[in-house]
Amino acid sequence: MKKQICLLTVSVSLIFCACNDTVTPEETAFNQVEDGHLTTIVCDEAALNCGGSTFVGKGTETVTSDKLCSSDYILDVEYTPIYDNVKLLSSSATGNPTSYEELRDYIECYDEVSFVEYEILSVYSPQEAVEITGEDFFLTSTTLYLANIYYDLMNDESVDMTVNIAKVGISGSQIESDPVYLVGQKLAAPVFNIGSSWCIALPEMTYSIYTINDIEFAYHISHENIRLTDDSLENLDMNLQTSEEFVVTSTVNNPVNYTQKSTIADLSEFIREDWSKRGYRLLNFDAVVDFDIQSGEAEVIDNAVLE
Amino acid sequence: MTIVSFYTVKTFAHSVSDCGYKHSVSTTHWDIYEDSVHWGSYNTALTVDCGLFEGTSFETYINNAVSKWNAATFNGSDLMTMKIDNTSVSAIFRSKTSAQISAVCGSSAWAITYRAGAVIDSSGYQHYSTNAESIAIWVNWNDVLKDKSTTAKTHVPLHELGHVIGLKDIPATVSTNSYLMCNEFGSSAAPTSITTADKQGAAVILGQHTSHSFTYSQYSSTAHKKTCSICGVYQYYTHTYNSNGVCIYCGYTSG
Ligand SMILES: [Zn+2]
Ligand SMILES: [Zn+2]
Ligand SMILES: [Zn+2]
Repeated sequence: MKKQICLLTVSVSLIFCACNDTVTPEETAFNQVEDGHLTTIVCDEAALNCGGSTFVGKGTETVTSDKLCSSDYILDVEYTPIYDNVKLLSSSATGNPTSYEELRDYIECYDEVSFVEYEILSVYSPQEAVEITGEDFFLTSTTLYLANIYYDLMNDESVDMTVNIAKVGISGSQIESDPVYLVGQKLAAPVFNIGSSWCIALPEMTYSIYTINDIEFAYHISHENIRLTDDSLENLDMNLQTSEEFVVTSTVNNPVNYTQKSTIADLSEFIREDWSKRGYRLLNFDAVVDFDIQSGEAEVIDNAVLE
Repeated sequence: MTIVSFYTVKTFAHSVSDCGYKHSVSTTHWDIYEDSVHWGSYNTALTVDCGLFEGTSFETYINNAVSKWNAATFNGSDLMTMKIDNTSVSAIFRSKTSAQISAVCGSSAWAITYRAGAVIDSSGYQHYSTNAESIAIWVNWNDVLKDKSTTAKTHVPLHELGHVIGLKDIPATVSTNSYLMCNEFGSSAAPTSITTADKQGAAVILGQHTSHSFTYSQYSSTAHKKTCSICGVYQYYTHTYNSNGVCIYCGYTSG
């Protein structure tokens, strides 16, 4: 359902025509006044009528203002892993952030910030990745994914942009508790350098997205130090059930470790509030020039180890 | 720190011909990459190229770090030779972005030591290779480090060159900033000097350590702790008393 709404909100002029016959008289009048310059508000209304379902913005209070009982929304998901016996690495780097406050240094270094939902479409081979990006590290330590950014959580609206996202870890060696992705996985993260030949999702704030009983949840991947808290947001730091802490995704011997559970609504509300308070400049998706994306092939990378 | 070098495999396999001696970072306060990827020996000069930092303000910090390692002594002898040399290079400094660093290390950072392209010889020693990124110190200069304190800027090249030698990070659970190789400072200031423990580890790596040299301290009423003053390995032994009831090693008097 959300996908339909996505299309509607993004491609306003194209899709709106298809919805015209279901638009209420009031809206029609409004549309006429606007004379084709449809605003997002009108589009959302149109979506409501077209889809025949209730559209609830991810940031609105409608769904999640009440404290949810975490045990009513337990993650129960099964993946088909494709790797096993990978070398597990522990990450450590000099001056890596030990709290959300310290992480801001790294968020601020980008001119424009975003916080988006995206889906992994396919995986590039190391050679393809090097060719596209010019970076050698795709041969030894990092995987390049073709991904579709489908929701802009900062502006609470659908987008549709294809990007190449780099993430540490390859088939043969991965960071412990943060395995490589499978095609079809849905994630949320601040994504930077959108529009370049490759971009990066902030590793410390990358979340798996799951819809459980019609509510979208974000499960924080690893990086336990970066825990978000805000007493006014009741579903930001939910009780993570023991069975939800480790989930095998791509790799049998490297289950992902989820360290915090939030509703997407509260998580994005927190980030919106915090970042606007700090005056971070939001990425304007309309202004991003679409990079010429090559079609990635979902190739299984051979078992190369880092050394 | 390492992808290759700042990540290390979780199981601990390294040993310093320990013959039953204990060797753990929580006691020695130094640690070595268990894959033994490290610099050759104390009489092989470790040469450092400033890369594109030549002529920039960060060059001063690199020079400072190289002189400090070069001047370091341990146990009465020179620890090693380290010098700036842009022609025959052991390790090279590179300016990298936050995105590049995140892409290879899975977290944000001021710097990492990246040795994906290093050549490893049959002794397990690493060498620079001119046809690969080799042993490179990636510094997040433009995005982050340039705006950091002098302390942070001083720490970075000194710490990373410790990685080039073969020293491993010291986890925050052991210490946040008492040793050069600490890497998660929290609210503490980053360390800016090479401590005794860091030099102990370096001496072991550089092959300066051929036999243990023990000191003894009382541990309990029945045992003393025997610690090598050079490498830090230790073991507990029961006291050996002389005719006066005094331990001939640690001086403990039996009651
Ligand atoms: Zn380190
Ligand atoms: Zn010793
Ligand atoms: Zn004794």
